[in-house]
Amino acid sequence: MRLSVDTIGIEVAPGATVLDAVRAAGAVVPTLCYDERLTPQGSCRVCLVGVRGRAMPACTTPAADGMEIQTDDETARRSAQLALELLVSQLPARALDIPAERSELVRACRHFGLTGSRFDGATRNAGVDHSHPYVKLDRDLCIACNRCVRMCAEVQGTFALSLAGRGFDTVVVAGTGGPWVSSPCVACGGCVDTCPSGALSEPGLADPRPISRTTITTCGYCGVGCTLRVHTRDETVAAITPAHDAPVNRGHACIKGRFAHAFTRSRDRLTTPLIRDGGRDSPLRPASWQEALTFAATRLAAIRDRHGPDAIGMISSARATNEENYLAQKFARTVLGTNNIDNCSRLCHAPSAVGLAASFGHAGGTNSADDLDNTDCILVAGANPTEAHPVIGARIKQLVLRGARLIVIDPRRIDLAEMADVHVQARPGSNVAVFNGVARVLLDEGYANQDFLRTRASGLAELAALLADYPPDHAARLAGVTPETLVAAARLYGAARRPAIVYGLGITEHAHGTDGVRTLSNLAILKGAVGTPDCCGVLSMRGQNNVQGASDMGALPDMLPGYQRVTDAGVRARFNRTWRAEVPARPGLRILDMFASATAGRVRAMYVIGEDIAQTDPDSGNVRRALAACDLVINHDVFLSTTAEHADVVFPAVPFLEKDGTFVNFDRRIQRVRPALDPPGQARSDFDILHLLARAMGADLGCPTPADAMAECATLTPTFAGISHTRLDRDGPLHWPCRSPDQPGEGRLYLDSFATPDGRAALAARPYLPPGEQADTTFPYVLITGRRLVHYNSGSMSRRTPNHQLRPHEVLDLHPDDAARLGLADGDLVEVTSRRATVTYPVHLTDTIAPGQTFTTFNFPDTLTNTLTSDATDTETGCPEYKITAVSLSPVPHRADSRAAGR
Amino acid sequence: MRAADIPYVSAVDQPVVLAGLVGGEEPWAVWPSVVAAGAREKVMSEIAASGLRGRGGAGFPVAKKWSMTASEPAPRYVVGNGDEGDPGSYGDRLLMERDPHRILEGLALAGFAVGARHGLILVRSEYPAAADRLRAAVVQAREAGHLGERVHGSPVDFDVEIVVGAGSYVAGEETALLHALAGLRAAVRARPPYPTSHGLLGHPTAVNNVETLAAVPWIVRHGGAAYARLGHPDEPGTKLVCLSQRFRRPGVYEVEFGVPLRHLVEELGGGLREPYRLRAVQVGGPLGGFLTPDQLDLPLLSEPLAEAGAALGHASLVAVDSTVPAAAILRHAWAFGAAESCGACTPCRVGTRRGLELVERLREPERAGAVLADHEPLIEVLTVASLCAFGRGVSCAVRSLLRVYSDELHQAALTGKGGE
Amino acid sequence: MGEPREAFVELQDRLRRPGTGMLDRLRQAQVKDGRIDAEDLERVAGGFGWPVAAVTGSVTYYADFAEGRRGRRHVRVCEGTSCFVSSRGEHIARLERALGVRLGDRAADGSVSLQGTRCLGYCYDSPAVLDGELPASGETLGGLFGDRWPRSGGRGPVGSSRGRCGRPTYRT
Repeated sequence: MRLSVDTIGIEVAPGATVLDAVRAAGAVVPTLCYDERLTPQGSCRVCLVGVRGRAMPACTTPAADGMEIQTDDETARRSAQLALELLVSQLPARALDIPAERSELVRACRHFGLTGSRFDGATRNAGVDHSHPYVKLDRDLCIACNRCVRMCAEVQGTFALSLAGRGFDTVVVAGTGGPWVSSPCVACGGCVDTCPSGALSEPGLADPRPISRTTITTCGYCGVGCTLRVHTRDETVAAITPAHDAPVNRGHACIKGRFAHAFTRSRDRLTTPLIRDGGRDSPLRPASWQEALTFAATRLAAIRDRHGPDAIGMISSARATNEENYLAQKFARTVLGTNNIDNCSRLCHAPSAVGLAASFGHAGGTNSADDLDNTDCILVAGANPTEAHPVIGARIKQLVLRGARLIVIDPRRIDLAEMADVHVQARPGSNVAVFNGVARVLLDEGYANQDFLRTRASGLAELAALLADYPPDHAARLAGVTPETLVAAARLYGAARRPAIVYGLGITEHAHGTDGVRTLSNLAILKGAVGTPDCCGVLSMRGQNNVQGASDMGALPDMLPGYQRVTDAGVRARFNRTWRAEVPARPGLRILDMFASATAGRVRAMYVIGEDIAQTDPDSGNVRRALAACDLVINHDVFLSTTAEHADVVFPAVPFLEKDGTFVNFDRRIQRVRPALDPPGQARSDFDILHLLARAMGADLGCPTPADAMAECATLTPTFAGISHTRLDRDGPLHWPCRSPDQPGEGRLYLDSFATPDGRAALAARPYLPPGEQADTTFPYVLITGRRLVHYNSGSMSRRTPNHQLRPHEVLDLHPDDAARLGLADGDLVEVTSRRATVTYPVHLTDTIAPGQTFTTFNFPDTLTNTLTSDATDTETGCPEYKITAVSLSPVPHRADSRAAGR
Repeated sequence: MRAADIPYVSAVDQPVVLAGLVGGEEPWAVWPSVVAAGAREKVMSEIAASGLRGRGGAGFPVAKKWSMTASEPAPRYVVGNGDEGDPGSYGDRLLMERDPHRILEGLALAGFAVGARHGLILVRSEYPAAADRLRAAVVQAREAGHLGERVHGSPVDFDVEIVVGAGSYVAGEETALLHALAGLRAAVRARPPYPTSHGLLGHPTAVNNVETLAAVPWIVRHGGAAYARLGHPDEPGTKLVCLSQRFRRPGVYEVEFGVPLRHLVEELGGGLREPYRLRAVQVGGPLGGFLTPDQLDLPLLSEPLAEAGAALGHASLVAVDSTVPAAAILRHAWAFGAAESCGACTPCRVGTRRGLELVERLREPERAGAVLADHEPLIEVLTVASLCAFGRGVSCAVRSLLRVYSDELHQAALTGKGGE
Repeated sequence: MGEPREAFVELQDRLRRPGTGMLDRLRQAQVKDGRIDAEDLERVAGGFGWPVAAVTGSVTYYADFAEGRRGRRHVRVCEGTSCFVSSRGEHIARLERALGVRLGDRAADGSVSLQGTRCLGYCYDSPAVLDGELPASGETLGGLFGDRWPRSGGRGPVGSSRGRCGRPTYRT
């Protein structure tokens, strides 16, 4: 459409508004109720412009061909100013004292040259609500623009907010209108971010002092990979806000990335190296870098030289950058001379890496998260995105609200199950049965894409033969659901035009996790919903920020960067040339094998970067025994972790807000991480520590900067060949594979062919096999572990923030029927005993968990859930079965003094 | 009986809306044959030929609204607006209480025309008897086979749900009405999109006032041309006009468009009852306007009345006698605006309160002088910048009031004694 | 601009949780003790599968729910234009005296409450009230308050229009 703005002719797309046209023409019209993330509302009336002599709100008026728009129309401008003056007349004077960069209202007043209002009369007098640690409400500044309400509904999908009252008294409320902290608000921060008047604010921005610096970086919590703007003042984080132009989060964030940053300046940050030089029972003591490096280097070299390189096990970190992981595996392979390097994706998504690579070719999700925009059916399996990956959870909710069908396969009635068309509440450990049952229906009822199967897939005959054993009623029986439920799920998925699969640890963390990934991938292959135009594929939700990247960078015992096999002599030769070293040909030990070897005395030293293996790894009693058996334990961490308590040397490391490098998010997007803060004291990045330790051992790792490390990785790794910091800084995030500097990254994979040896997607015929542990008469309950919204993994970061106020201790979710049987009331203490240990929790009664099952997390070191968890592991990858532990429950008798919950 | 029944009169030769109440025309006379014959086109074409416009106040052509709705994807809905909020109007109450089947038949015909399976009527909670009668009528109509599945042997399913409001004037605005039907806050939203594409539950919806719907059976029965012959060439048809208690003969009158207001006031209403003297007539409720007795030669037509600053609205005439002080009636107008503003847009949300506060200042000698001048920017912003007809209407009504009561109000502003 | 959205409406449509019964349900909740408290909001929202904020938004919006706690006897008095013109609010003052409760209030013992409303549609026989669901109109409000109804000061219409109803009595 062609139209004019103040006589400037411009072209706008169909569907554009007058405001779009005005902005395209570079003209300025103030707005208050408008936010590009939300449906325009046209209620503040300060964006009036003249259209054919009539005053029209720019934000809600559709642009039309030949339209003549006047932003300086006298009537429109005057009324817009009067509307603004009316608005100001309702507010206390302090509304205009807010710094302009934090108040659209103040900026709108400046636009009109207003310092007050010609109108006067009653102002609001409804007071503040500061009950919430992050979301602070000053009702008297509320201009009833409804942006917060729309943000909560149209972006976050929590619907925690509403306008309340009417007329002059209209004001935002949360929940029932009681204290904000008691409302269903999940503190995504969307309302605070959009508020134009300061009515909704947060502690760091309510402080009027200016921000000294804003750094754009990538979130270091979950694997979604949100782009954040980190605002600092006096060398602390004042606030973090979502980048509005961010490709993944699109101006949204969650309670963790948005608010949980106080840990960076927690007083218990490690700021100096610590060593334990009087034996394991002696205390850790502060040491200089020189002393600690020499101590570590000498002992590490001694063990290497005396017991051989394979007597050292190294665990890299999924919270560290790609460059740090690259350097860590280079350190292991060149300085130590071992392939004994692994990372914690072993404990969560190793089955994804192996399963997806076997099915499709690459060890990652098949599609960009952007493809979700086009899906008409989402199958969420073994994932709880609204808590564990909130920004994607919110996106899924919006897609469902706008019409996409939703299938949830999960033993718990998770938040998304509440809005699902079908919830397959399958018994833990029955994934393969469920997926085989669904596959059978897809084939039997003609939903399979035969053309695709003929030309693009392999293994159909074997699969069809296996599925003879999985008629829906049998599969449903194995899963403990009705056959109708299973068939309904299959039909929804089968009938969709562009179905998407989103899965998480509920698929992988099983004794047959890789089979789970393979049989789930089968569904997309049968439908032809992967590797085809407009397909939405299979997305795996990564737990930690850089789980994908840590493996991509070769922190794996059998893979060099880019999943190049160490057993491949040609590959090794290339690395050897560049590294001027000899990469060992034999694959190294996986994490759990390292522990077993340590206990057996074959591994004598453990070098653990960042991971708190003694809290987060399964059967953690066993982990502690392994650490105790080692001659040397080296640890990098930000805080003194449970693992550090077993270490001989602890190097003070830095969290993502102090790091330089890149992360890879769950959809294979490589994104820049930039330091917003300087490290406190003598803390150093893992990147620097690795360099220092290598130097102390007389080696040079090369690539002195993170940018150099990425550049080196690119030269050695075809799938990253086009990646560089320079390019990322210039063009923004890139998906891998990205094979040359002039190629865009590939978000949607396999359009021409799959990256499997025969170029076809490989269907997998995998039978259902029972989980490692099952409930029995001695241990009659199944304990499921997982994630909760406000805490993150070991809790080392989130517990050191006001998130702690929102959930100060762990609880055990228990069905009310089970509680009644055990005589337990909400909040009562219960002893949970597995074959390995006993831990006490307060119970939380909820029917979101099925009878016979319980749920908790391992966020708290004082409730060591992982002392309970099963030692069973995935048969293919060694990924532990965190999701199923047989336990017994025994109520703790009431004692007046026993309220020290969870101890 | 502690309350008087509504007096009603047809002042036209062929009563249309009052065809049942005074003309002896039974309801459900056309529906069975129309639906059985599948005569969708006939309904559409007769309504188009009739020139029928919305009687709730906005005056949008009914046939156009229906065809816009029908062109959108199913499911579609039809909605009857029984939220007769205008103080001074009670014609809808008359129809809902006394001839509910005619409204239901109109709604069924509308639903048939647009291809809707569901019709809903929102009745305000201030009209409990109307809601009861409509609900009873729905039950009777189902029993008689007029509503339900496969109506009268046709493939058509149609049923009606009666929803009772909870006290909100703005709920009568169509986007707010749809919110109220859905149990949400009856706040107005910006249009476009219009309800014809984004209505109830987000689906295409034709919203018609119950008076409009009550005319539909007659039009389908007697033909659009017969209806178009009534009234005025610019505005065909008939209208229910409500006269207030101060008239000698208050009540509901069905009249043809184009009659002079003086005819309504003096002939039908019989002027004011003794001992009262007419000072002003409020036309069209709180969003309409005030006229002086010497403006009564204006015809009952939207355009000329709008030009005179008094929107026709739902066509109520409230006689204001000379004993009512100017400041009191001005305060009444603003108080209504402040109490009923939904709060969605700035001008109305804050402006109506500021208006009320301005009137209060007539009691303050040191501030009263500026009250009238201070009205100017307030009326301007409400008129130009309000989101819906409410804010615009309230300000226009106040503007006409300031004109009609100019002398008294200037006097009140000079004395600062409140003027009451 | 994308497809315009109303998320609270989408929620009802997509998840098949329509709210046409919501206002009736809230009236039911109000009957118990004359008000809708936070617990009622949660219960009603749960029953509809709605976010509680949506219900809070409604309850605080509509006059019937938002304007104070109701007594066992709830009287709505018309503040419409005709009623105003015919008594200039005098009928409200009288009603307050007759009921012993201020407009917008509820008697301390919960026996009665008085709500102003615009309008009841008795403009031909102003003023008017609804006593529960029972209407009364005219200068003496149909004798609803019997002897307790204080007489006015002689102002008002000459005759009540009561009884002139039903079939048309005159035509032109």
